[in-house]
Amino acid sequence: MTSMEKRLQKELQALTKDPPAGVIVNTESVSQNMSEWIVDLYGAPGSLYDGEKFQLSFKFSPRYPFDSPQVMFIGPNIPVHPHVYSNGHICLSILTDDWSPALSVTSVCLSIVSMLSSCQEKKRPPDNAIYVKTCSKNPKKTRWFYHDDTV
Amino acid sequence: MSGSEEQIECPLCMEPLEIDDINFFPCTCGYQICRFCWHRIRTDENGLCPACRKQYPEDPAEFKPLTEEELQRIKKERRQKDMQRKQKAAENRKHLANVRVVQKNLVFVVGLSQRLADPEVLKKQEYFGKFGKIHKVVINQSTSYAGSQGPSASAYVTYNRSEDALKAIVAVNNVHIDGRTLKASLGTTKYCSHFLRGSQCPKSDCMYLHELGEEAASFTKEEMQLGKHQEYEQKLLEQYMNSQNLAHNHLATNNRISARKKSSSPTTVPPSAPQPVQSNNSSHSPPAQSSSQPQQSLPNTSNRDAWPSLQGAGNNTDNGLSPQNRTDKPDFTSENCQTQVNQRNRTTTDSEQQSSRQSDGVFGQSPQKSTDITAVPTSQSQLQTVHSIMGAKTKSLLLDNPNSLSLFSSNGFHTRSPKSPVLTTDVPETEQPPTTEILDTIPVSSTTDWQEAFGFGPMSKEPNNDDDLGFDPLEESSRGLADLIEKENGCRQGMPSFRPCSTHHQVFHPKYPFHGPPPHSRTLHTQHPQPQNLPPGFSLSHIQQQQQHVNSMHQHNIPGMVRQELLASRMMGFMNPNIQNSYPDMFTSDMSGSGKDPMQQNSRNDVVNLKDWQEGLRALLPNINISFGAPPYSSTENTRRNTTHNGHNQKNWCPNSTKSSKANDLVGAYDPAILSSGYVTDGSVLSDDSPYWLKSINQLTETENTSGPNHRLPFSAQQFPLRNAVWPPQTHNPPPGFQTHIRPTLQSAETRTISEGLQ
Repeated sequence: MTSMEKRLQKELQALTKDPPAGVIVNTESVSQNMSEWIVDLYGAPGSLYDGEKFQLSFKFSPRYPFDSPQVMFIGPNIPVHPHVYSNGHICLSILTDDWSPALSVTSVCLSIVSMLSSCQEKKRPPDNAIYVKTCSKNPKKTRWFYHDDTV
Repeated sequence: MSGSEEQIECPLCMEPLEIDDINFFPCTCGYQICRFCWHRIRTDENGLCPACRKQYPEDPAEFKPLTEEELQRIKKERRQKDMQRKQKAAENRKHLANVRVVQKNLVFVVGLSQRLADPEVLKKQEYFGKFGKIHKVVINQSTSYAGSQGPSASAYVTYNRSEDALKAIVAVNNVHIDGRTLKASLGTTKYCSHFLRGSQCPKSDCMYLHELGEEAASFTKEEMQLGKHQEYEQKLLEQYMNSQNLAHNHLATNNRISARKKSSSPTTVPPSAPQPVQSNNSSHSPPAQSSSQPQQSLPNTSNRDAWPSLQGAGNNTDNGLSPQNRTDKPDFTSENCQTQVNQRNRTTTDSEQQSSRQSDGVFGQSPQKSTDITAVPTSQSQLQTVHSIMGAKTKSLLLDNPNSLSLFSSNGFHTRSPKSPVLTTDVPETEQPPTTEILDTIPVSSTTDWQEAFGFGPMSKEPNNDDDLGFDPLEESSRGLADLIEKENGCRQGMPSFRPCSTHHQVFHPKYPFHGPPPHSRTLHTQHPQPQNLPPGFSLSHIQQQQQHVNSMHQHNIPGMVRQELLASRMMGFMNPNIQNSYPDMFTSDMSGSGKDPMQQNSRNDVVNLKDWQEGLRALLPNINISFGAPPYSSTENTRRNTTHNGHNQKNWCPNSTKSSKANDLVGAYDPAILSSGYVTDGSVLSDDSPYWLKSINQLTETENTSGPNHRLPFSAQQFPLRNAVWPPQTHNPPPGFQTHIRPTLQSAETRTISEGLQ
């Protein structure tokens, strides 16, 4: 078992055994392929996304955790958020430049829930239309320009 | 992140921290990772602390190597924990010391002579190697299991696949070789003492268990003394048989495969089959002939076709693969045959039973056939009666074949019924005298077809010219096939490949030759290799599809087969072949049944046998010689309750053997082997590969048949009582746990089910 598998196994155990609020890992999808997870996110109570359900897709490379996972929203409900593009891509620094091997699926999920919760107005990113047309399928290939530290 | 109770883990790689890492803190923030990950981050990654994102300093912020005292203390603690864990495991596993676990891929054989008590010998293709890939053979020279047989060794044969082990058990159990009766059963294994102590086993190839075995397969010594593990083995064997039967019934391809296997085994059977057919026809055919004969003929053809097609297809398409397939198929057939035999014994005539019977017949189910025949008249419903009659006829033609025929016949009966009467009548008449002629003609056409199909045209043609003799064509074709096989596979002796070819030839040719001028008719047939092998219906399908077609033909195409008068004869032939356990047997049975078939069978046998036989016979010649003699027949007869039918069969066998002057050894081997194999194991011997083995063994057993017949008898027709009587003696020979009871019980169970279904 590679360190990546071992690490993911541990993370899965922890996440299923003691999940943070609003985060539910889809163990069925994980059991089929350890390197691709689907995690259900629920909008935090009191936030603009209260009661909404979103799906996050995690794809792990063999270099995980030293390499960041590929994380994006999937499914029918993509949150309308200034840092979330309509194709599910998320503008979040810890998913690329600020990734640290000390981070985990759980911490990423919590970061995203937190990002959603801090949203003041439901709107797409200003460059959503052009980005969605031109971007790669893999959000990690996008050269993100992180500008907003407030959300 | 850090882990479990005992050890601290690196939060990144989740590996437990080494002793040296326990005091290793590379970053001033105190975030602890192992030195491996630290090195990786510094060399391959961004060099930042994962926690605080500060650049790692050149030297670890805090690293105090453990003092010797601390080191010793930690090591001591770990050792203690290790000990505690092991003790716990040992306590939990204490009760396992008395537990033995039945291994589904392990065959335990007792009664091996010194000659065979060699792992390399047993691994050979003519012995246990033919049932599948062997992982390991362990010989136990202890004579504790010798019983009344004198010094004999036992062996644990571990197969890679559990099906192969079951195959081997079915085929080898109660076989006589070197004056001893082999007893085969699933072996049991105990837990490795290291495992019981909770420690790592130092032996890399340790064959004992290192993990908990299946609950259902685990038995205490007390349970084993009660025979519980035998019940379990019986269950497995039943499942195996049923799966095979299902395959036959539902999967044309499977049937083909099994047919191929069967056909291979029949090679030995054929000689006997022809004779039985003749006698049987006179005795048994009359009752059912009018209605049932057509059907029988059809089934036979279907059976033959299926086998030949399977074999032929395997050869044609997969030169190298075909042998293996054949071998596999034979095994299945043997199992099926056993089950079928049981069913036959009950005289049930259901389609399922028929199918089972067919398989049984392939393995030399003559006894059962005879019983079936007798029973059929009594209990026959129309179709069932017809089938049973057919089966009986086929059985009568070829004691062994009848069973197989019955199975196949069921398929063929439907379509062929109209023509069957003629065919049946023709078959019996032609079978005995024409056998040689038929064989000649059949081989030619078949050979030509084969050759054409394989690109051996010249070879086949020559054989065809020699077809008058019948053996030459087969031999030639077989040679060509053997050459191809050798080139391609080179592994198996070529029996399998040969068998397929021979079967094809036999199947198609025998029928045609019988009715018309062998060569001329052959030409037409030769055009369609498959058709030759297969009955008329099969001819429709072409060579490429022969295998599959054959299978389907047997089942579904039979009607087409019926159309052709030849089909009827073929059917008979097929029936006979089916009856014959091995392919050769099949051929011989065909020969006997239709007369033409026998010739083809002989030729086929010759071909198939050529290499395999030569090799196998060389090793087994003594045995073979023994078996060739009358003893086998007598024994077979005895074993077979249908003494009259059996007698005919036996006679036929003898003629066949004599007929096959070219490959006398081969023929003889086939005949004896076939007879013996079919009789001895009933189903088990049927395996295609078994021919050498089985033949030799059978021959041996045949010589010993006086004792062996009992075993056969049970299988043959009658049911438990006989078997029971037989089994006890057998059981005496094998070790306590490995008695052959399993088979009998299985058979009995199968027979019951079959009979129920049929009735």
